[in-house]
Amino acid sequence: MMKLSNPIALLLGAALLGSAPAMAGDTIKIGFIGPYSGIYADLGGKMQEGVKLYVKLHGDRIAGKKIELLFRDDNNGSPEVAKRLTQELATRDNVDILSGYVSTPSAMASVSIATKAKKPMLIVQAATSGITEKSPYAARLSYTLGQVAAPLGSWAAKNGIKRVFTLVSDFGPGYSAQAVFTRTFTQAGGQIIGGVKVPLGSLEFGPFVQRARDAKPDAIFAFVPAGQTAIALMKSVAERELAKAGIRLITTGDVVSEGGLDAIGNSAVGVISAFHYSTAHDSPANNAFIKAFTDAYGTKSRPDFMAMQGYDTMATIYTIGNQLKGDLSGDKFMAALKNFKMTSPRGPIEIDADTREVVQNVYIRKVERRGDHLYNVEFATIEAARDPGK
Amino acid sequence: MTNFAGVLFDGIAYGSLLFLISIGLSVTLGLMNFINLAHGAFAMFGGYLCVTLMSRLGVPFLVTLPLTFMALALAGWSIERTLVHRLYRASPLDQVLFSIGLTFISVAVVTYIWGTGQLPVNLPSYLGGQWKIAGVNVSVYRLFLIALVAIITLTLVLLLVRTRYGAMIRAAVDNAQAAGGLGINVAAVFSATFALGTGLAGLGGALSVDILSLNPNYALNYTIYFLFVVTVGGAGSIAGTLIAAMLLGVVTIAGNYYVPEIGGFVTYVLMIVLLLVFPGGLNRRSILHGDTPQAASFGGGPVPARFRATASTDPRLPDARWRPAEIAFWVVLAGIPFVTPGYNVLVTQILITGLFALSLDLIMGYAGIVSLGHAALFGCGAYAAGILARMGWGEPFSGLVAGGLIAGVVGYLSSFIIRGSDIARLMVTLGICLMLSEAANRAVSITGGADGLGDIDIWRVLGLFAFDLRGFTAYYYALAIVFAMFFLARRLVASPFGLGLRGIRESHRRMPAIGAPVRRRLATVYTISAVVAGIAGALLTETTQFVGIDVVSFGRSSDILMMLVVGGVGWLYGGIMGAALFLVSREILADMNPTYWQFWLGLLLILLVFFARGGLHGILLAAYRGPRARSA
Repeated sequence: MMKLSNPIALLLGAALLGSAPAMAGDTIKIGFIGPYSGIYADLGGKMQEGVKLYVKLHGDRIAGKKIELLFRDDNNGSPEVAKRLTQELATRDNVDILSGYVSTPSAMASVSIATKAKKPMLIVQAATSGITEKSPYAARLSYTLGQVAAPLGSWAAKNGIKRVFTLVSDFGPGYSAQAVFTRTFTQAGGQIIGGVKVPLGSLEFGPFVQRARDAKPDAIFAFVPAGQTAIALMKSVAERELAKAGIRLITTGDVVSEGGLDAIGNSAVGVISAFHYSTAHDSPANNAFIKAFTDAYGTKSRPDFMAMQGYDTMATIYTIGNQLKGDLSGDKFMAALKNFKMTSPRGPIEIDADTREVVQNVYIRKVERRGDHLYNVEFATIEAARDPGK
Repeated sequence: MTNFAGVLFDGIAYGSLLFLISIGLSVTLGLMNFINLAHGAFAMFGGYLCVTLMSRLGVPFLVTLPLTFMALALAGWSIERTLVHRLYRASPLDQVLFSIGLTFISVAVVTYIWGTGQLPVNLPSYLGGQWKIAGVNVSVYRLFLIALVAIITLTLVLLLVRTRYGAMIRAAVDNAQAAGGLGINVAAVFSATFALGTGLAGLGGALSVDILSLNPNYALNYTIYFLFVVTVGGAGSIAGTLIAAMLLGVVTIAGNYYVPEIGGFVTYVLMIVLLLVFPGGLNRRSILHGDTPQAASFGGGPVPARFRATASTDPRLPDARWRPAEIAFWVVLAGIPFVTPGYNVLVTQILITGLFALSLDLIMGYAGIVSLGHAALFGCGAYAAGILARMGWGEPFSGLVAGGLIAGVVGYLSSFIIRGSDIARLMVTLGICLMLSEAANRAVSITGGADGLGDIDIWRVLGLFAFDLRGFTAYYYALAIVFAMFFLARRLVASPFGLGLRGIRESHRRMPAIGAPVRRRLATVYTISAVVAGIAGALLTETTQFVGIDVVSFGRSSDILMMLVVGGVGWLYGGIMGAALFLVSREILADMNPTYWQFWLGLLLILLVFFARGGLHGILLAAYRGPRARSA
């Protein structure tokens, strides 16, 4: 009822409800800011499922204190909304931990609040390098684009791919994916024979894929945002029959993430990608995670990297929270996060003490069909990869 | 040469897709003058229905097509009978609000039934793959689309020109009363036509599932494309729609293949140029009206007779005196941080959005210029302030000046191409906004591109007040600026210049007769509006200390238009009231349910349309006049 009555209080201009301080001591509040409606609703929704799954499995208490989760919709990752919600969570709701942040602008705009409020900010997704440099209270539990694109370049050059054509979306992350891949690929002896940038709003990838095909490369390196753009790209690739022309497709893992893989269909089979997580990862931790997720949400929702990262964020908070006996004040939490190690469903991870970025394995995978679903099956591992931007 | 043939084929295929998703809108907009922005929602339901029929019930793809058409036609018919028919005489802005409300509800319903993810689509194998024809690789599915376009075009033309039903529509649209007198059941004809439009939308949705991906945002994602095709083609003209779709398809694909460096701009430039050359659409001779250009009658030429309808026109001379309610309004605002300091940031953003809406009200409510691209000017101001601060000069007032200046220059320059009918102006402003957005996206080194512009350090206001965590400084800084701009705007609209603008709004043909330079007046007010929008943008940058690329987005432009209409056009306070209602209810609804809040927002919009014509202003006026009317 508190939640509902506050804005009404505003409307009436009445009462001091809004400034009532949170009862300190007996609860731990964690705010998750993300897109739960709109274009990126799928990403936000999966994160939420992962977060709630962890609480379901491990109880709603840390060191005896009750956990309270606050989910706030940032309206498609709008930076001004995200920053406002962060400010409100920090001052009005007095949360212990700020988390969520799926899109880079939402994290970039909000990061200064973490410093001012001295509260830990655990970024669940936002994958552009450089965010964590902005505040000593910011840490990232996902990956950076460079972290997964760099190993792919060297792997390709060492595995018989000599000539590559690049195809990326025409925006900042596209440029950096292209630059990182090009650097490691050419350093390892590969040759870039051309490239094309696709306008963000394109509905039709046909002409771009055709251009790539006409250049006759050994492989096309592609990076486009996950979701509908990735699916549109993959449909064009299937239609232009690249496989028949002997051209391979290599991508970063978000293009073939499990959330969209079944929508792409069989034409995705054989695509090679680099990423930090596959639901097909074979480890006890991952098998348990997948089973718990399926038990909780049925077959309608497939787990993916967003669900895993939401789950890992909660695992981190629980582990450190218990270690600190429930005292999650900013400085103590950040100190405990340095060199924090954990066995995640994705494999072993560690938080780098200086950059507060995840050090983790990056896997080279290939899309295969197993029963009703398509999976990214891992076949090579680059251990303890770091963000090359640092 | 084979390259060129391949590009041409792809272009025609893309044009076919654009035609298929647009033709239904051309029918409802062109034949019935009903602005159905929920067109995308009907198409989306068509897509989902088609896929569900195939995957759950095993219905063959080709059989799902007529089924989808019929189901969506039936849905359209029911909605027309219950709701839509009440809005034929309403202002286009009410129609826009209603259909946006319907779209929001649809998005929530689809999310509830099918989830947020992408739905897998498996078309029969005989429609997949490629054929090699004369050395050109031709996709089978695209060939299928092109064939269907030919069939649908032919059927529609025959239906509307050769059948008795076609004759009845022509008569009913031309003069409903006379048609009724001849024994034509006008209501039934309109219902049937609306059903035809939604049925075609559903069919287009079903046919596009393999190319456009199917998710709950389908309803919103492609709005720009079909508005584009229908406006350029000339609403209501089937041939025009076909030509426009093909032209856009071929030019876009050829641009993307041959000059990918500027591919993102090609479409927008083409749209703007075509609309400037053919303001009423390519085919001004609509099938129905013979010589009367349908698109022009929609806007009534340069005077937006219909868009003006919600603007309350007070017959009395404007009165520049401050009313007690107005003074109370600002006093209450000044007191909010004392009462509920937890909402400082929200109210700050409402004030800034209200100022932005005020800038739109100046051109729309007072001069009759509608714009769907006002975020272009807001964005110029936001970036100007952000870039200035990053260059090391974070003094807040200079940022506002820079923002206003840059936006003013851009506004002045663009005022030369913003002309023609309402719908043409709507699309030209949208085109300018989309081009600026693409430019901001490309110029990563200046604007930060899609990742946004951070590290903006804004100095203390007046050298005294630092921007604090709880948002007190930002609140009073924004309030002072917004109040000052309101003060000036009040003076402006009550001045002889403001009166002249209203004259132009009412009749641009008579104003020159009394010696008023119409074009210059319009350019002036557009520039002033741009300056205000730029200042609002700069204010957002300074209070957020970040510039996201969404400052220049289509979404921001359409949101502001919606807020202004909700609040009431043409009384200066409409924007701020609309922004308050919209942002506060979004806050409450999203707080209750972060996933499905759009459903309730959609419902709210629809209720407003039916029960509060003229927006909040209408409600206030009714409340104010109610007792007097009764006592009289």
